[in-house]
Amino acid sequence: MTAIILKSLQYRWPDASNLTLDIDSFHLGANEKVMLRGPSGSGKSTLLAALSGIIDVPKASVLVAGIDVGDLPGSDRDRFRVDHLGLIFQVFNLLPWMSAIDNVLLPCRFSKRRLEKVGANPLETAMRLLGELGLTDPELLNGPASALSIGQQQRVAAARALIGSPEIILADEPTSALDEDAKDAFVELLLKECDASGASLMFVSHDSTLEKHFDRTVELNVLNGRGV
Amino acid sequence: MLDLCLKSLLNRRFVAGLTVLSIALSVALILGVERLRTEARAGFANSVSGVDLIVAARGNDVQILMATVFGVGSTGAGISWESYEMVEDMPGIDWTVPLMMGDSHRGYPVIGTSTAYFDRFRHSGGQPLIFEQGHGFDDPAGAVVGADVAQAFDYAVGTEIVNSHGSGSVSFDVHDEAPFTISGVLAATGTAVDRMVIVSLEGFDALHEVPAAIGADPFLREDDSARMPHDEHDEHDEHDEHDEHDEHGHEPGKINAVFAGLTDKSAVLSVQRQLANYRDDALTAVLPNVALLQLWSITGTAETALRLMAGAVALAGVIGMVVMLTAALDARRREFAILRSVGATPRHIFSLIVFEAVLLLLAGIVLGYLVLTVVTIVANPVLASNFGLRVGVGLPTARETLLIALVFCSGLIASAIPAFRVYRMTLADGLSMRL
Repeated sequence: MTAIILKSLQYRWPDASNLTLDIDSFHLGANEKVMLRGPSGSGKSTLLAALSGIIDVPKASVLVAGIDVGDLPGSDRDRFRVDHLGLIFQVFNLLPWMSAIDNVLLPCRFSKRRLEKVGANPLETAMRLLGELGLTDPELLNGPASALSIGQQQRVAAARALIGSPEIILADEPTSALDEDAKDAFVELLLKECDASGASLMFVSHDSTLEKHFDRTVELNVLNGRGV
Repeated sequence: MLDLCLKSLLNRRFVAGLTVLSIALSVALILGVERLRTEARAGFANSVSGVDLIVAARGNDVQILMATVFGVGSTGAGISWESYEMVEDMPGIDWTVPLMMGDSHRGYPVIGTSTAYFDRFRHSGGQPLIFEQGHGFDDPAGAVVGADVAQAFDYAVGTEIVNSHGSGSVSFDVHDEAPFTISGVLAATGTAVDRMVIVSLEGFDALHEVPAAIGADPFLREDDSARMPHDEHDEHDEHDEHDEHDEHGHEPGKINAVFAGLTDKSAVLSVQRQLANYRDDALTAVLPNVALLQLWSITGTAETALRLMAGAVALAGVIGMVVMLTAALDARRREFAILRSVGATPRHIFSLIVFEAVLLLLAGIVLGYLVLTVVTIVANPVLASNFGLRVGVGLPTARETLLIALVFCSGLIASAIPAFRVYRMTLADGLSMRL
């Protein structure tokens, strides 16, 4: 099944004169790992908002995991988002007053689907994911997330996005706060885990040095016909 | 959801703690005022029972009630013994107890009366006075003390005590020439009687006869020295004060008031009228319960003011909580965006804020109740000895529960303001992490 299908997607912010998004066609295959590159202002955030059901898009223009996002009523979009998407932000992904483990388990609180997919022991799954991402110190994992380094926080965020095997991981410049060595290591780990869970990855970044890790790179300026 | 809330609040424990404290203080205050008010009323109402009429020289009902029952203030002019006998002999009057007052013993009021006082006086809905130790006085030098007085000074049967004139706790005018011997200690009643020293009429008179005979001339003091060996030269003022006795109306043969019981309670109004029309002395007959109602109408304004203030403090506490919740919203935008990204709906975020308010309010109410209980336990001895008030410690009454519920509900409703703000904010923010 194709993870993401965009078909003549047009979106204009309520008070804007130009179309922010004008995408003719885009496909993201199952377990495909794509890097989406574009300067700021090219509509990256708006595209992510469209994919995650934050903004209203026309019917049949955005299909995520076979679901027409534009056709979902508002209250269903929150469930859709947590059921099918794992999100990783640039920085500050974690609730600082929660432990790393509890942060990882957050989606399972809100999504029955992901709780079911995570197996009989969510805690064990969380520990395994964190372990695979190189975080094993139990003291660190049970302490407040604010005690973690930025690199560690991003790996915890990746574990949270992956837990319960959502179909698609959306990563919004997750490496921009990391140093050079950590960037490649993080991307490799993320890709490995996406393979393990069979998730597709849409990795937004303007860092061309990371291109080599992905199946293909899409320039948002090209994709987004009327983009700036 | 609840543990999310708790953890988030713990993360902000300092501000949350302050908010809980302010709610706790307002709850303690609002309940404290209420409790003090009801206990004061109950205490006052318990202090008079079984007395149908209080007869005194013409004056204000409340003043007469306060002086005779609570030992606060005085009745003004006295009434003559002839008037007392007239009351005693009136048709319809079952029993009478004469009362004299105006002296104090180390700050506690002293009253002069007959032994009938111990048989007739009733408190707390008809309970008689009970002797914890000893018995009533059989001779003019005998005295009976209330439970508080006995406890305050460790008095027991046989202790010799000395009274002073006036009602302050510090008196320069000590009647050490007329000591009393305690013949009995009363069991605690929870009323003003606990704070009284009760002596016989003769004893009370004797107290004033002795200094009255001394006269005003300080040069006569050599004659006095035999009688008052402890006098110092610089205590001349003392003698001047004694002069004023006569103006206070403490002359032998005069009493201050009469407690009266009727054979037929329904005749109380006609007896009251007859006494008011008595020609030989200007008398007022007070129905204790009516005077109490008058007292409530006087204190009502102060009570209302106190309750308004307590209400305002509670309002300030609730507003403080809303301010805290609202002020935190901007700082918590990131928190909400993260929660939204993992599937929390705007409704979840809304209820998160309301849950927080509930937790803060509950903690505040519980803490406030504890504070009130502790303060009550600490303040009770002071209240009891100074005002004869005892504030109960225990579970909230129905009215208090209502007040607590009122604070809780107003807090809950007020929390909807930040909750709605955050609802709209999360809808507008979405997952944007631009901060």
